[in-house]
Amino acid sequence: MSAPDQGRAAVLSRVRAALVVSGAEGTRAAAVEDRLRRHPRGTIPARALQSPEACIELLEAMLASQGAKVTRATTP
Amino acid sequence: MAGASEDSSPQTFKQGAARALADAKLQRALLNVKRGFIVKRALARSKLPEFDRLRAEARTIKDHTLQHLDLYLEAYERKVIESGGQVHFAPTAGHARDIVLRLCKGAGAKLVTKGKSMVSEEIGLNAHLEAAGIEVAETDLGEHIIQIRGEAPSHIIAPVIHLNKEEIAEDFARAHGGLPKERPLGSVQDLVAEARAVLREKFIAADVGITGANLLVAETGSSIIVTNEGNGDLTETLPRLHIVIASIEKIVPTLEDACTILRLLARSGTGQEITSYTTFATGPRRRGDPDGPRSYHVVLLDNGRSEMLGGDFQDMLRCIRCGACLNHCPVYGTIGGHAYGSLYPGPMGAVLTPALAGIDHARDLPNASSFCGRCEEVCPMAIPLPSLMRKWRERDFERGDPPLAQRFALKLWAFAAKRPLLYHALGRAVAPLLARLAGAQGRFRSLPFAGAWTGTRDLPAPEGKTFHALYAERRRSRDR
Repeated sequence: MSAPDQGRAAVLSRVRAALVVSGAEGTRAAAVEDRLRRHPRGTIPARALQSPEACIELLEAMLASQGAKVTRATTP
Repeated sequence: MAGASEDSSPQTFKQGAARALADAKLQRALLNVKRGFIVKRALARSKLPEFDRLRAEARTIKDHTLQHLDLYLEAYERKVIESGGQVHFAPTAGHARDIVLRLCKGAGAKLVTKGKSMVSEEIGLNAHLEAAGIEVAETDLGEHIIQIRGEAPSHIIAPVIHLNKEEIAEDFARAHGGLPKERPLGSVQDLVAEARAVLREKFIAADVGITGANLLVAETGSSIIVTNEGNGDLTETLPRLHIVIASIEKIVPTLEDACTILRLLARSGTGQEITSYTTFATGPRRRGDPDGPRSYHVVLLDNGRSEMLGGDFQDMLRCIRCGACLNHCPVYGTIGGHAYGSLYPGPMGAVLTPALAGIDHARDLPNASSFCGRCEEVCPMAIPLPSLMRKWRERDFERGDPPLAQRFALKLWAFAAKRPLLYHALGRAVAPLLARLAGAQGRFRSLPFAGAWTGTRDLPAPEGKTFHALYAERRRSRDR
């Protein structure tokens, strides 16, 4: 076994020994696969749940707080 | 472990704490922690109504990842390889140093730039590379200052929190060669401008860039770093080889999970909603990319973490190194980081250092706590730091390491504390006795077995009655 492979095997076997698993358990693999596939959504920020107009106003306020001058364009 | 050597032996810790308490400049500098980080974090927290929900989510994400760490490491490795990079597993600090040196030599490196990386500090990487004739330039401003001073960082996110700008100006005047002697270095802007000019040359000339990682994403094989100076981006993209060095517990499953943790990280550390730069690196430069490294390598370090898995200290592996526990710790706020003699100071260091370096090298650290609980309250990953410190204390006690007198006193106290009738009887007997002995002053200037306290301050004497007696009296008078 090459040195890189030895390092890999050593780390993974230590992790598995600590978790008392073999790495071949179907339920664990399924849990990981499921999480990666489902990509569950995290919490949506409360401030993003406002109306679109309120969100735009919030953005304007945040930009202004950083010194930006904000102008809304009424037409394209 | 580089950051937790014999420097953290009990005597040295006590000496370090005594030195810190007597250092007026340090004491002034430490006020910045209180004035800056604590206030800003509280403000950021108050503006985030979903903070507690995010905290619970982040905890769940990390607990799930740690329970499946072997599989997520493999998933991450597959994605890095798919994106054209390579992953190296390092069981120990020595392995990690050797891997990085081999990669640097393979790239013919003469100059290496580094982004801020606590793991590289932990393994003593700079000294290893320099001993092989490779110049290492730290590019985070704080780390650059630390490097020219030849010091260790005193805070995990603010390495020079112990310094003032006059000290830094002196360091720059001494260390930055080839510049006019009389140049202005009086303001923070002057210092930043000079550091930027000096470091820009290094960025352009570097052969290899080394960064740490705040998070590694299994879903994409990406590494994420957060900075406020943009030095991480330049370190990652300009040299022909980019090496990421990170510990194995930095993995999270998905980008969504990373975002949940990022929303807590900066708010908890610096009080920012998000850091100025959040940089994602996924593999080397692809065809058509305007910039980026030609090779991309990730070194995954164990160095004792796997021994924490599945045991008493697994919760500590949730730590995201935000520094909130340091900022809110009354002990850290009084003595600063260097007194701990460990790369990882404060409450998180008091738990992590004994785990990584062994309790023999860090016996005093879990005892350097008043157990006020603020660290646990502010920890965005809900790590029960006081409980973990207590576990180290128990282990230390069970091993029979504390001095005989201390063990005897603790056993005596435990004997009484487990027998409420005896405890109250002793309290009723001792409290008035101490009150009488203290006399009209109501305090002791010295007391047998209490020299550690009375050596620096008076010990207030009990007023004559126990808490239970006073409480009972007040209840009786209220009922009348």
